[in-house]
Amino acid sequence: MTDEEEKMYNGEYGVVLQKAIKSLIKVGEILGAERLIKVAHAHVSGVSYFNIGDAGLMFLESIASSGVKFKSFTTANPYAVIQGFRGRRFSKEVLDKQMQIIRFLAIMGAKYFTCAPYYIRPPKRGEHLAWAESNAVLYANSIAGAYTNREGGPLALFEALTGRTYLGGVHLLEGRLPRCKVSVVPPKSYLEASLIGYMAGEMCPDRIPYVNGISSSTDVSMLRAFLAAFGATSGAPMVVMEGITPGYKELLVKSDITEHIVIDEKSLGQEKKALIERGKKMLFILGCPHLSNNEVSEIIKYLLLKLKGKGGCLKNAEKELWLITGPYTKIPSGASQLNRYGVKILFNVCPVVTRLDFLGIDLVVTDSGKAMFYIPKLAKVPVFIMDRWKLLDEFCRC
Amino acid sequence: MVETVFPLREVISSRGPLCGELVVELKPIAYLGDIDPNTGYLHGKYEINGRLLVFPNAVGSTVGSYILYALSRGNKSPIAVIVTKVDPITIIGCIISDIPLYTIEPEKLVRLSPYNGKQACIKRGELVIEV
Repeated sequence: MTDEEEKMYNGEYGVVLQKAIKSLIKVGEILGAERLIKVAHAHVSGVSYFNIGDAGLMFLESIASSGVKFKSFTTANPYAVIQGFRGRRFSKEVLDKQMQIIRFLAIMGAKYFTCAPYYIRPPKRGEHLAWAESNAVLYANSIAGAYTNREGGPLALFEALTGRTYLGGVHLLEGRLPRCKVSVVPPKSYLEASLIGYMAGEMCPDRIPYVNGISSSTDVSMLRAFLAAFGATSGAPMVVMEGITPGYKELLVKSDITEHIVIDEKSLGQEKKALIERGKKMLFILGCPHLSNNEVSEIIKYLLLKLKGKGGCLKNAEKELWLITGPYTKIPSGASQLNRYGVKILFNVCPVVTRLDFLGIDLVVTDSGKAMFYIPKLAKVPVFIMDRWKLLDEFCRC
Repeated sequence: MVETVFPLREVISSRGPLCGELVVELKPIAYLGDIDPNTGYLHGKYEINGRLLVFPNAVGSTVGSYILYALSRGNKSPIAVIVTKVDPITIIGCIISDIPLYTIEPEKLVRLSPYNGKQACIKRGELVIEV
């Protein structure tokens, strides 16, 4: 241990940091790490009040009220949607508690709330991070070539407070080696990328896969859809993608792969047909994980074209389209014209971790495999999955 | 011979023997989504409160640790968690929630599944089925 780490351990910086570093060391010991290392960026999960509840709120309060601050640059996951749906809003109590969680994290030093922290501070190859949020962890390891374990929310919080992580897991070459091989059909759409990721995760729930078949020229938003869906059904922190993941050749050479799985077009199955019933309150969601700045402008451009001179019927329709993104996105010109049609750009929030049933929403349509996994479980609303552009056409249909 | 004793590896220790009904799940669990922290039920039908929860490994959201924490704050947590593979989400969740954590060999998990619902105790690093 360094001098500073020893002081934390001995309680010279208070009991909160002592508990944080002791827990961190314990996790490291269990996972076979030999020492702690400094991290360039921590990312904390467990921000929605609907997810962590009163227990989590009090946990954060006990830490934040001790006066400790984050030692490393720290971002946090998005919070529950506080804006409501067609006039329906959450109770004052729920909103107050959500705001308290945000405040506790802000007091400790988190300024940005998004599930795409890689757009706030792009991770560098070989850099050590301490991130929670599975899609972000998978992006950092598999696309950026940075190193982060898939930390539990409270662990990432302790790592942010101490500025340290344990040198184990995917921080070491041994921990990054793939253990199964998955050959996939090249995804042609966000939907296919999502479905392939979802299935690959089910097939490799506890191992890093080596995936071939995804072209190196694949759009990064499709790669994100693939990784996010993989993260829902698997516990692995990384996917080694042939031609894409930095250092993939070395990782393949050193790997010990015994299992080979094939995901072909047939196994992708049928896309659930969204039966658009009149009178149902429908919510269309794009942005799980958070849309990039470019994706938002692309979508707005498409909608402006599509709704030009039309769309009058949408004004009173019982549906909304939410484009979910982070603080790095600039509102594209013309976007405000779309408000009257029920199109909203929402920043720093996550509808997947929001009780959408409380807002009177009957049905969600999305293009995300990750959202498809979580929305029925967490938002408690039935979900339909559709490819992005089809979804937008469906939204614009009267 | 029918096995009634299964070796475990202690990851997060506990004081004294741990006894309770076995809840054996052969598929991975996403704590966030699969477990309701308010009721202490897995998949909406299996009560894990006061039980020995056995499953292969955790998947899904990193918020899962907070689900274990909420269970413990609400006195709805399992007596112990037994998995075939530990991960940071499970470990930190068990640490902050004071839930003992053990690992079991994957093939033993399969052989344990017929005992789902039976009483068992963890004694001296072994899971012993009460016959």
